[in-house]
Order: sequence, then structure tokens, then C-alpha cells
Amino acid sequence: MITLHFEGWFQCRMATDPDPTDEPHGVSGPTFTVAGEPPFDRLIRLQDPVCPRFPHLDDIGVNVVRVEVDGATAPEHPLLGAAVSLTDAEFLQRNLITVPNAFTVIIDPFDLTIAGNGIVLRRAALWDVTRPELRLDDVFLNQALLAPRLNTIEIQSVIAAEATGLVNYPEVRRQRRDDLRHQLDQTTDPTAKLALVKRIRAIEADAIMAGQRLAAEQFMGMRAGYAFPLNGEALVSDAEGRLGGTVGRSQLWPVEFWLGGYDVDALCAYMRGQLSVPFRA
Amino acid sequence: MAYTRADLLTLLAEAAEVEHSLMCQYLFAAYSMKRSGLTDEQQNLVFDWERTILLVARQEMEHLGLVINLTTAVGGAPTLGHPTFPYPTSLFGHEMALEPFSVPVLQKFVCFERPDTVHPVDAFCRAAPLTTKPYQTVGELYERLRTMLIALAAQTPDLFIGPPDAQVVGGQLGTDFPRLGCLGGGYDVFMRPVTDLPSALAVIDLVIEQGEGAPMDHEISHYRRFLDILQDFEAHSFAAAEQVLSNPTAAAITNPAASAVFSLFDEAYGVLLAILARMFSHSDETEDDVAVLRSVAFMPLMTMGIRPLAELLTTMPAHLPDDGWRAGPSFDSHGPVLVLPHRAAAWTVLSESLDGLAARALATAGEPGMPKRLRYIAQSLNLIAQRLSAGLGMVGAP
Repeated sequence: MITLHFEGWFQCRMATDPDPTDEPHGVSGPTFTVAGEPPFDRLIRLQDPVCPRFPHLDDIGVNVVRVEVDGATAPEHPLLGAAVSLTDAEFLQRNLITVPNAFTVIIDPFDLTIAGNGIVLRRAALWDVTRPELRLDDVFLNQALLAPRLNTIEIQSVIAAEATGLVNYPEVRRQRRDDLRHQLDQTTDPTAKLALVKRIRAIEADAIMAGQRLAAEQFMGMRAGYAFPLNGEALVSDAEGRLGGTVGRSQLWPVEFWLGGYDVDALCAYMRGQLSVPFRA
Repeated sequence: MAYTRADLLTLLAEAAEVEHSLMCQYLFAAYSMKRSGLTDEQQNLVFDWERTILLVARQEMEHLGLVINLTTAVGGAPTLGHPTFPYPTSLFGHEMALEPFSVPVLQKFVCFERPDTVHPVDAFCRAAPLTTKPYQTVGELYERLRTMLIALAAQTPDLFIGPPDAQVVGGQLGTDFPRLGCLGGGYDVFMRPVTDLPSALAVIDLVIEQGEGAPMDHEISHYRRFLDILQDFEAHSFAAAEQVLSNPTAAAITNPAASAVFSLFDEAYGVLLAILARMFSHSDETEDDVAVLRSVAFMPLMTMGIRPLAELLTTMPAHLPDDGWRAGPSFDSHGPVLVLPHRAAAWTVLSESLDGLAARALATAGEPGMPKRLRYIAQSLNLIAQRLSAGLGMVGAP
């Protein structure tokens, strides 16, 4: 068994309630686009962010940070540092239409790839292996299918705070406001200035918009946990045989991870988790 | 002065109508705002103003909910209708009317939310009221309610006869943040139960404070928020809103595509009000049943149906050929919204209504020339209908 531990910051540019989920710019929720940015697309980007915002201009990327083979750490493993990505993944719920409860956020499709050093492991979680085209909208009333993909939720999470450094929520917002003001003083580009002004004004509005402030703080402290098997067709590519063995593709690949510390100003959050794949050397 | 329970219920019905109508007018103005054709700087301002107006509109929804909680607590049934726009009001010479964002409309909103401490002229109020109602501000209306409640509670020991579990509270609606020591505030909404005189008076205080502002906290009052937008808008002065028809009617919209979306909005609004009526006046529903009604109305139908349909309308040409005018939502309740009295029959009627709406939305979205966004809205309505139908199976279950 190979267990790949991964973590890092990711980007998700999405409107949040009470905006409709297809709102392209964000109006009444705590997230919004700024001048110079394209409309929201809701995609979960573990790599290659679109128009990343300070303070995550160059640290977005979820990567393998530790590998265990049969329970023992493998410090020279070829997948160490490999990039983790999701293809076309979105947080889906259509403002609570397709999920049973608030704070339930389903990721669909869930098609995971881990790639590095000439090796690619890719597999999806399918609602029904005989009908891989099914999406959440097709199955949201089927509790048996839904149950494994539901998340747990933790509010004001200690684990998320320690992983992200977002420990004191109001102070993080105030510091961000001050940093952005400082950048505004240094910026001459008119589009960048407008973008900064909008972000600063949104944080300044914390004082007079209790709902937005509480939502910003709640997102910052929230941690959603997931644990389910990948059951789609497995793709294993290792042309140069660097893995030194065979990865099992007929067995399920359990994945377990959490997402948390969503920063509504920077549109980023943190991911930490692990994927286990059967392996025979 | 001696009051009766009937006097109180009549005034509560008027308060519900006022809150409902204010909400519709604020939403209409917000949805009229431009999403294209502006500079980045203007777009920043427009989004800020729209965000604030929508916040105020949500608090008017909260006020409507609180008035219904008050009504239920003293033995009444919810009032969810209002006259067709435009119609006269006693609120200082202004009409209740659906009009796009503009300086006069903002001035009207400032007047609607005027505190007693501000002279009517300074709040853009006109000289004479259009009706003979004995209140000329929202604050005065609620002060009358306060007086009536105190007097009636003194003379009627069993004033609060409604079942406490019929109260709709923030924990049920998801407006209470699940944080220790944080009751209310989600979406800037604070829903509270009414079970006795102190809780009834607390609700009235909250409504007045949010509208006119507490003595030490004027900055977050509706009055102050509208005044700030007005001053900001006057300082920048540009065409911030689409040229949307005021008080749009089916007859005034001649573009067939816009007309079809107008009908869908009308139907969706009617279904929403009917579901809300049942939700607020549920009788023998189980807790799970009520949760299903909430899961449909609050907030999917509001945010994934009503709002995007309204936003779509204000971008669609009202006439063919296009003369620059845009359509808009009617927010017409078509008279009083009747509470469907019998649980099983009510749920069947509501489910049929939602199914019919979804089917028509999907069919309309498939017609040539329809905006692409209508497809997404129709899919959402269809999924909401499926959720209610699935919930329908729970009715009568142990």
C-alpha cells in the first residue's frame, strides 16, 4: 500500500449565498470579483490559479508532502512533491437545493490526479460505475448514493487555524485591510487600484454589515471533512517504472481529506489529505 | 383607550403589507442596476450600492417574518399579500411603486425609513400623505403596535395564545450562526420568536432600530444606508440603472421572450408566497415536514428562482422592436395569499404548483432566443420541485 499525503492552498472563485450560485461577480455574499478579473467559474483549482490575489500570489498548489509505503515513510519516493489536481471539480449545492443540510458541500465531479516525476495516478469517484455520466443533480435525492460523499463540518476549527495561520479571524481581516491599503499607496496601475479599493471597502464594511463579517469569519474557521473511495476506472502511468511495482486498479482507492480556512477576500482555502493505493513491489 | 384583539390583528396585517411592499420596492431597485456598460470604477460603486440595498431588503423580509411571528403569537393568520403596484400609502406622500434605481427613488426610500428625529422635509418627504392612515412613518406604525400590545396585554391575560412551536426562528432558517454566543446575523437577518409581551416588544424594538437606527447606532440603520447611497450617487452621477419599466404589467411588455419570463416570475412569486403561507401557519406538520417547506422556500426558491428571474427580466427588451426599455418583475401577489388549511391537500397543491412552474420554465428555456441563464434557472426550479415532491412522501409518515 502506498499512502500519499498531500496539502497546500487552493483557489475557488465562487459566489456564495445569498447570491445565486451562477452569480458571475458576487454581489450580496462575501465573495466578489474585482476589476481586471474574469467572472466566477466555481472551479476548485488545486494548481494554476486564475488571477491569484495577495497574499496567495505564488503559493497556491496542493502537492504530495509525504509518502508511506506499507506504513513506512519513503523520503526518496518518486511521487514526493507530485502535483495534486481535480478536473472540472466544483462545490455543488445550488443554495441548498441539492444537499440535505446547510454546511453540506459536495464536490462533483471528483476526478483526482496525482502527477509528478513521470508518474500519473488518476481516478474519479462515480455515483454509479455503470453510469459515469451521472452528476449530483441526477442523484441528489438518493440518500444511499449521497451518504458516502457528504462532508462533516467543524466550525472555528483548531486544525484549520493551525494549518492556515488564520488564528484570530478579526485580526486577519484587519491586517489584510492594512496590507491592502499599503499596497494601494504603492500602486499606480488604475485597474489594480480599483481592485484594491474594492477589497479594502469590503473589509471596512465589516463594521456595518454584521452578516458579511460573520460569514467571512465563519468561512475562515470552517473545516469540511471528506472520506470516500475512488471507484472509477483507474489510470496508472509509469512508463519508466519508477514506482518499482504494480498499483492495484481493481480495488477501491480510499481518499480522505479536509478543506478549510476559506479566505473570502483572497478566494483561497487549504487542503490536507491522503490517498491510498494498493501496491505490490 | 380600549383595544381589541381584532384591532391588533388589523394593524399587524397592515404592518405585514407595508414590510412586504417596501421589500419588493427595494428588490426592484436593486435588480434594475446595470451589470454592463460601466467603467470599472462605476461598476464598483454599483455593486456596493446593490449589496447594501439587498441587505436592507433582506431585513424587510425579516421584518415581515417577525410581524408574522407576532401575528401567530396572538392567534392570527399570516398576511402575505399586498395591493398591486402602484398604490397610495400614508408614508408621507409617496406611492408604493416599483421603480428603477434613481435619485428620486432613493429619496423616497430615505423618506420611508425616516426617524422621528429628522424633519420630513429633510428626508425628502412630501407635504401631504396620500391616505388617511393614522401613521406617517414606519416607526409610528410600530409605536402604535407597541401601545396596542401593552394595553391589550394589561387587559387580556391570555393575549399570547398562539402555539410557541409555530414560531419561525433563525435556527430553523439558517440565519443563526452556529457559533457559541452568536444568535442571528446570518445574511444580516435576526429572526426571533414571540411568546409573551417582552419578546413581542423586543421584536418591535429590533424593527425600529434596523429601520430608523438605535440612538447610538445610526450608521447601520436603513435610513442612514439609503442616505449614504443617495449622497454617493449624487456625487458621481452616472446612469447606474437599466431603463426598466416602472410597475411593469403583462400588457406593457410586448416582447414575447420577456413576456414569457414575466409570466414565469409571476407564477414563481405566487408559488413562493403560497409555500411561505403554509410554512408560517403550519398546523399538524411534523418538524421534518416543516423543514422540507423551509428547504424549498428559504432560500432556494428565493435565491435560485425569484432573484435570477427578476435579474433576467431587467436585462430583456420590454418591447419589439427594442426601444431601449427593459422589462421587470411585477411582484404581484394577485390579492391576498390564502393559507391552504388542510395539510395533505395543501402539500399536494403546493407540489403540483411547483411541478407546473418547473415544467413551464424548462419548456420556456428551450424556446429559441431565450437567454442562456434561463436554462440554469429552470433546472434549479425543477430540482426544487423534485425536493418538495420527495418531501411530500413524508406527509403523514410516523
